[in-house]
Amino acid sequence: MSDFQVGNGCGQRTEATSSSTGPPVARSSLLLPLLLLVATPIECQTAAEYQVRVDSLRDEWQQRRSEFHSLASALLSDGIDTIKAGPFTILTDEPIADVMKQAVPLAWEAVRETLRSDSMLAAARPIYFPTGGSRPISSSPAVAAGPWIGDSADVEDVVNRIILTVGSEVGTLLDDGTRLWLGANIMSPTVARRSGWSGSYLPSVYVELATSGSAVGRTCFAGDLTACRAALELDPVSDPIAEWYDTQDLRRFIERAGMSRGWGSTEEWIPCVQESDDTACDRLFRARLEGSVLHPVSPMAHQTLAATALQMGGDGAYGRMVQTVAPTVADWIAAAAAAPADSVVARWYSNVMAARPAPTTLTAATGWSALVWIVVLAAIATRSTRWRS
Amino acid sequence: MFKVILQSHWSWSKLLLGPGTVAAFALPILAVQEAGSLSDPQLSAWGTAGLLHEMEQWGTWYAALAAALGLAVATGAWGSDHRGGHVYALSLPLERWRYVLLRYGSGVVLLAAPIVFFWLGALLAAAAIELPNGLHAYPTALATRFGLAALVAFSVFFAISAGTARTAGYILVAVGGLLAAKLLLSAAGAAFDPLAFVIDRLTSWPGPLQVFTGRWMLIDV
Amino acid sequence: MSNAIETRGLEYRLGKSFEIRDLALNVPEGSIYGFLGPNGAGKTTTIQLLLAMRRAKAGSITVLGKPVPQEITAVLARTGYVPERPHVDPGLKIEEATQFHGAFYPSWDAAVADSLLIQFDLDRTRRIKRLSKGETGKFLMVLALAQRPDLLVLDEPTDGLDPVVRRESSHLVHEVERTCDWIGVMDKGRLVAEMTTDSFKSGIKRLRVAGAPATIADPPFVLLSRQPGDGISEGELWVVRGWQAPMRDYFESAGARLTEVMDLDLEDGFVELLRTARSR
Repeated sequence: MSDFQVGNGCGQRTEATSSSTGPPVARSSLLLPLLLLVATPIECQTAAEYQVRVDSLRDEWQQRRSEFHSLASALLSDGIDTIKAGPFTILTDEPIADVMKQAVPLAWEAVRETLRSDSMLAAARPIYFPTGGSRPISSSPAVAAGPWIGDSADVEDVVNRIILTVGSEVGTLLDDGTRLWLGANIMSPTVARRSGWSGSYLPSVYVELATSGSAVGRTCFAGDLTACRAALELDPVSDPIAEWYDTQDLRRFIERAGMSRGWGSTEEWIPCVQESDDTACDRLFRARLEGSVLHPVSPMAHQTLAATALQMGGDGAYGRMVQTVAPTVADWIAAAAAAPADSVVARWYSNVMAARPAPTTLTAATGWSALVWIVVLAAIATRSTRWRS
Repeated sequence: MFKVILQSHWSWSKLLLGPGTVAAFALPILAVQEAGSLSDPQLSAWGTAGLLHEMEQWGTWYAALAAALGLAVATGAWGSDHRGGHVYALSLPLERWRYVLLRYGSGVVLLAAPIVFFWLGALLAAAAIELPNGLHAYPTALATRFGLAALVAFSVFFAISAGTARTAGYILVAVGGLLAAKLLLSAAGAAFDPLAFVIDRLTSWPGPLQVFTGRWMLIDV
Repeated sequence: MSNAIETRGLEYRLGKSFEIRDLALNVPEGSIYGFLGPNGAGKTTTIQLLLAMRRAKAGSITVLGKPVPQEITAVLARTGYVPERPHVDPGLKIEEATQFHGAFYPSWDAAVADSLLIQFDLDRTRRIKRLSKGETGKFLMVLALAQRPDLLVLDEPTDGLDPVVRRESSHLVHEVERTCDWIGVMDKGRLVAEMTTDSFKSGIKRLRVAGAPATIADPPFVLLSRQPGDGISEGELWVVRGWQAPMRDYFESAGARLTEVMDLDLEDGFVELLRTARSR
């Protein structure tokens, strides 16, 4: 046990005993958590309470030192490469080290672009990407586990995996409700944008809204931002069926999907489908789908909204996102964006509308390619020979 | 010269070209009728997604009709020559390449009719339905694609038919070789499929058949 | 006199069994040249080589003063061709086929076509596939003649024609004898003989010779065949080519006696020629 001498801000000086020796301050970045804990304001406490605190800190330090030693020895013994981009540290096996050296700076840049000043959260602990069999380091709590990467992976693929792993890592800071609403990795839109996927998020959300099977989705598409808020489930919903769908929706769904689900034999079927009895439709729908009703929009739309909030919030947005204890998703979004939720929804709607996908029926490339082939084939035909035999 | 070649080409192709033109006009109208009742312009829940799904399904028929018309007109272009062993064409005082171009040109002219009628049918179909918010009709783009596809199909079959029996033999040998290679590699446990590779090259950009693949949507977002 | 058609050293091969070798054809301008030979001799193949429908392996071809196939388009513009088998689109009506054909020839004479269609009693509204063999042949002749060609190439032109049109004889050789100025005899891809019809007819004789020795030296004529007597009269029967009357004296010097000189018609001469050619 070592002795700490501290001032407690109450004008008293106490002495605590500790059997452990004081840690060298500059020895390891693992002291950071310890420093953070020490930096917490110390309120007036009794000596006994203070001792409990000190013991707790000491235990924490010992645990971190142990993890550090095991990490260091694992690094030395397993031949693992360390690649850094600023504070961002990636651990990897030798076969993919070269690819990683190219990928890590690119990934870090994308992370910083999305999380901005909160990108340090991504650097809290190193991330290990294995390429071979399991290693002891994989189970070390000092290291975040990334997915296995084959040694033939290309740089872009590796960059995307790093970004998604960062997303998983920082996503653990979100509360369960937020994570459930998000439905996927917070960094998924970033990866989609980088990859230039033709079906990537904003165009897909546009199509989703345009073809929505719910009244609230269609109304949102038409420009009603209140409906968008409801479609995005920013506020708690007491009766999803009533709030998301109208009677036409229910009848059409029952008519088109009910037969395959064996609903034709129910007593509500004929009144609903053939006699336009809305009550019957509602009764049948609730009886069969209550608790598992389709959401108006997919998690993809939620992620794009979150990405919009991060963009609007600028520096510190993600930090606010994880720190805010929000009763509703709307509050959480507003905290991230440092703006009212309606503003975020408006910006989001504007982005979605601007992302209307180009028609696929005929692209310029297809048209020109076809024309060129027509000319080429005609030219080939003119080489038809006289000599038929 | 072109006029008489066009007339003889028409006489060989009219049996297929006539019904084909009618089908070209009717297909877009049938597609819209099938997808959403023309008497129910307000397509509501799951109707919109269903409409797009139906549009995508009908795309197969557009592509098939374009290919069939191209084949029919190409066959008509060379039918009489193949039957007579090309003796008549070779006895005419005309360079071979000029004769081929005249035949090709007559085929292009004959294909104009079903293409134009397809466009008219698409325009009519688009006008007959009140589209839900967010959806748009693309009759001209669809008709342009149909026209290009028909012309590509015509050009492919025309070029093959213009060749000798030896050319056809080479093509058959090549196809047979691909099949044999596929079987051998498959038996050896290799993952590479040469036939699939070639088909992929032909049907993806910038292959000649790429215009046939993908979504043919009269109505889309 | 120049030649309308001339070939030198012409060679062509089809598969392993048929070839044309060293063909030297000379068709004088203004003549009617009859091309004789048994089936498979190479007559149609030769015609197709002249019209660049087949490619020669070696040799030169000149038609109407132009090299073939280099200037075949110009040659075909001045050539009327009636092939062995009908080559026009059978789905067309006579009227349509006439218009189709006429569109390609600057020298096309519609009045001639109309006149010949009437003369040959051909119904313009009938489709070619509905015509008989003879009617088809007549129609092809109309097409060829209405072009006002400088050269007319007819491949088996009388095949299928009715006797009224062909007049009397049903034998091709006799028709050639009646109509042609020149004769070319082809057999197994070789040109066996090429000469005027008169030379062909007058120069080939059948002789009855008695007491001739087994071998004869340096005859002034070409001995085509020598056969024992027919049992009716004494002596052997000789078929000779290039006969002239003063050659009678030869037999006395050879210790033989010429008892009879008989004329051969074209058909017999043709047969003897082929027999001689094949025996070599």
